[in-house]
Amino acid sequence: MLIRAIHTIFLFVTAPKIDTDSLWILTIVFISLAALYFVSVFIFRNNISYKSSKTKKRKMELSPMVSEFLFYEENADKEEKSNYIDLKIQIRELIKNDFNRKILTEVLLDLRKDVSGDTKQRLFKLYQDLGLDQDAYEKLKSWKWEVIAKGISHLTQMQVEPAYSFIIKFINDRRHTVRKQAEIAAVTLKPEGINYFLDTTRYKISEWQQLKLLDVLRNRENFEPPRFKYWLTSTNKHVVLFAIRLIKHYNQNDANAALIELVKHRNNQIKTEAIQCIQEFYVTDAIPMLKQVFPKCNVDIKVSILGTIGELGSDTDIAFLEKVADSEGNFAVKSKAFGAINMISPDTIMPTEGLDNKGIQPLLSNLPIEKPKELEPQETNEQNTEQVEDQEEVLSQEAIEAIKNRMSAKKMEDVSSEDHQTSSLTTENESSIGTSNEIKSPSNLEKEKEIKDNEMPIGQTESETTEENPIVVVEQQLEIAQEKPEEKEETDVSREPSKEEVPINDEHKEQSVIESEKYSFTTASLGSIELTEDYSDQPSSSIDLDFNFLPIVIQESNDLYHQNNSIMNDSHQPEKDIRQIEVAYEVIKVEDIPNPIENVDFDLDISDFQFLPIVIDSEEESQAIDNSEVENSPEEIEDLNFLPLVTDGSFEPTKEEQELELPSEEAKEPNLTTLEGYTLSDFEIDFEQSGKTPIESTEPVFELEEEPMAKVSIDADSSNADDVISWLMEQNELGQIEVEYEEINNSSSDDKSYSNLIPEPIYYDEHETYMMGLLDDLQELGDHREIPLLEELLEGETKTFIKDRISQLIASFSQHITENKKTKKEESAPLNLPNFSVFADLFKSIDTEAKLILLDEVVAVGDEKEIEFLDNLLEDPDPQIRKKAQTVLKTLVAKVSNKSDTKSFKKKVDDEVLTKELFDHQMAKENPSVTYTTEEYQEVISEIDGNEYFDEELFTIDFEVSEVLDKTYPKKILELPVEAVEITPNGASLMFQIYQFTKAFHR
Amino acid sequence: MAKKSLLLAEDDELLASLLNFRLKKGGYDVVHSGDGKQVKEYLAQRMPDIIVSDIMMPYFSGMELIDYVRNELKSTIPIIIISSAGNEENVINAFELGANDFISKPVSPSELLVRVARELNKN
Repeated sequence: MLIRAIHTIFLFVTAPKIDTDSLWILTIVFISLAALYFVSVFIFRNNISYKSSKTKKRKMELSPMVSEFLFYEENADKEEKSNYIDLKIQIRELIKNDFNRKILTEVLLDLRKDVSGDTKQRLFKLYQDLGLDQDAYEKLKSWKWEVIAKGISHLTQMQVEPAYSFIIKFINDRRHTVRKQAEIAAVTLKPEGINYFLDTTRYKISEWQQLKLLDVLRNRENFEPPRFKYWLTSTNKHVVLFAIRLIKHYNQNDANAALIELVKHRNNQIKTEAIQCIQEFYVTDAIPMLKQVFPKCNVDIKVSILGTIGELGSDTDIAFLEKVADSEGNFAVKSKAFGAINMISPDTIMPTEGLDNKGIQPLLSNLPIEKPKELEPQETNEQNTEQVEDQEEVLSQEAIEAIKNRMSAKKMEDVSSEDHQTSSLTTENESSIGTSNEIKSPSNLEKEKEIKDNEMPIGQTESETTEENPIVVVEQQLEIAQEKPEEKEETDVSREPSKEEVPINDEHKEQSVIESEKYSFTTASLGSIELTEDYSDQPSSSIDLDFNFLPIVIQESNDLYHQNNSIMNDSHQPEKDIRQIEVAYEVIKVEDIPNPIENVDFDLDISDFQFLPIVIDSEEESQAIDNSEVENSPEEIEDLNFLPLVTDGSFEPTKEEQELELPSEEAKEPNLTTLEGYTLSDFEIDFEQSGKTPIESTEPVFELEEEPMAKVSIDADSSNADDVISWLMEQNELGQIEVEYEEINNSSSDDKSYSNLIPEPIYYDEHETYMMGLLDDLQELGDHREIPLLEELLEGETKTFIKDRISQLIASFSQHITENKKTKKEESAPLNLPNFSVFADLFKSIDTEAKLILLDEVVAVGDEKEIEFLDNLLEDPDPQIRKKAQTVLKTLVAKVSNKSDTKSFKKKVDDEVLTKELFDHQMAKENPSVTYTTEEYQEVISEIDGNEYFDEELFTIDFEVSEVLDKTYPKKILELPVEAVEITPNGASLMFQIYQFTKAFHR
Repeated sequence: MAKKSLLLAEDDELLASLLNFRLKKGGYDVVHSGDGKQVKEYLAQRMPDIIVSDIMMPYFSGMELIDYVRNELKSTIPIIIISSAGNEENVINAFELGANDFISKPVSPSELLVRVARELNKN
């Protein structure tokens, strides 16, 4: 078995026998294969290069054509236009070839990238005009995804908007390349494409795709983004994510509520985006929600939340941040929490890591501080390793803090015995002693306690420390504090320093504690409180400072923390907000406050109310005002001169005022006699009320006027009209009238002229009276029928004036006759009233049979007025009536037409004669040498007007008939000729020109 | 009035053809060169009234062309540079070298025509 196996192996190991003849064959095969390969490569290469060169060549051929199309202008010259048409024909022929179409498409797509503006728009138009978009549409039908994608891409690039509806079908295509291409196309082609896409897409929108879509939207001209908040409720989380990003991009800050809700989203990406959005839009309302979701979030989101709280938060959020800083184990979160605290309240947390405290060493050497023994070797081997150096830095920093705290304690001891204020001040002084940065650096209560504990084993005596350094006081206090077992326990707890521990400023610590309003203290702070309480019990030092400028600050009696620490404890921190200091107000009991209303003495001066008008309600009040205020304060009244004096009518002016207003003695008299303040109408009323005849005296008025004006009495008792007139004239128009009267008095001749104006009385005798009465009655009641009587009277009358009167009456009545005749003539003239058919009324109240009979009568009796009536009957619901009316209408129209024939014939003859005359006149005027025959004239006339011109039917028909015929024969009506004479620019009439033309034509 | 001569240095044949057509239609005597070598040869023989050049060209870039014209030929003829959008550094360099104006791709032929006219009017 083994031998057989070995043999078999040897068979394989041993080189096979090769037939040398076959080697040649193999060689030939391989060579031929190689040759075939090279040939095929050569062929393919040549083919490719040929195609390439052909494409290039064709592109160069097509490029000028494209340019010609793109830059063709409508107002081009003829040559250019013909070239353009040739090119169009040429290119139409070219694009029948697929290759050419493809090349042309490529050319246009290439040019699209390189050109902009109007040229680009023309390019898009050309693409569609040449029908190249049809190729792209065809590609959409392909089953190959790459072809479809290419088709979509072409349509998108060339802005073929009609393709939108075809492309959006691919938005949810399972082939992602097609889908993505369709998404971009939808957003590119139409503004509402983004809406449709976000509404319908069911697939993931990749980050890259989002960027591309955003780029498309950004580059879209005149794009008004929709409110993307509507897609925050989408079931597709990618849509939600994209919507948030779009909201952020377009600053649509109206979706704050939805964004706050999205903080709770399970998807971390959405959550992060929502938080960023909240931060960007400064949605402070989201802070509670951020705090709620914080514990459940991963580190990245926690960091994001803390950053947001830091940006948006206020002092109230510091407690949360501190809690986070205390509880969180992750370095990044913790750091961010501290950062957030510092963002809200700057410089609350100070840096501790990597500080170079070497410069502090000389100060340390002066201090009698023994460093911890376990640290000494490290210090001696400083600069050996980086680690050792770091440790040293930490230690030195601790030492600095120890110094600071000891100094602080010492100062506190010095001052605290006096009062809290002084102790606080000491702390302030302390800050001035030490280096400001160092003092401001971490010095929280825990540290204090820690340092105090570290200081304890120093082991120096009180006397030594007291003599050598003032810091010994602190040590004493520390010793005192250490004696208390509770405190020691607390100290032990706080003594374990944490590497990650970051100091917090006292200020902020206090602040956060105050804000929590629970006054929950840490163990360290309690210890510190007690220590300071001890300091406060110390006797006061001899420092004499005046603190009157400081506000009185008090705190609740049960507030231990404040009692012991907070009183001006932060005075060393100038950045402390003074508004946070509680200020004690003096408590004033209500009983102590005097009644402001009862006891207030309004020491008012009336001059203070100069802006107010004085309103006087009654006489008494006015008198009171006059007596009490006005008289007592005349100066004030003078000041009020500008004010309107408002009275209720019963007010009488004071004597002073009367004196001011009525300086004359007459005016001082009781003013019933005066006209002061009265008008003419007032006077007339009085006149009527007097109950006397206005003019009792028979003497004419002008007799009164003759008397000089100076003698006219102004007696109040006189109710005489003359007196009244003169009184009125005197009072109202005194000066002017006096002047007039003087003139009148001076010119006695004018009196006669006045007397002439009054007619003299006429006295009739009995006959005269009768006649005049009769004539008066005739004038009033008579008419032209009285003329004979009047003529009789005229003959028998002797009195001239009666004759005249009679003659006047006859004349007036005669005039009335002519006027009446005229009126009658006018009335008898035919009125241009609308036609009215008498048959219309009859038709209303008769039956069908009677109507039919009546229609027969219409033919016999009726005229054109009945045409309208018959026309209306054509729409009658009864078919019999309609039919009959139609027949009657035809007959009536024929009848009316025949009537007008005779008239039109007459008119026609007249017109012909007139036309002939005009023609002769025109011919003679324009060209006297030309003669024409009657035949020529008729030819011209017939050519001008045609035979229709003489169609009497159309020419003579009146409006009403034409209206009917318009319906019956509308064409004829429409062809009614319009008579017009056109004058050519050379002055010859159209008729003459046509005549000349026809003559020339005949020749 | 004689037409103004314009040298168009653009390696993109399609764009060059388009611009060539437009500029000719605008009344200029346009000479087109597809690469820097040809441009240099042409400039050695004859100086056009204005040069419109792309920055990125084979053999001889637009920058070198400006430098050549300004420093070697000591010519002050206006040079308009065509550059890709966002290629700010090149544009600044071009101006520092002595370019008179620039226009970014995609090019608006009408805008180019206006700029050319403006530069010629300046001179």
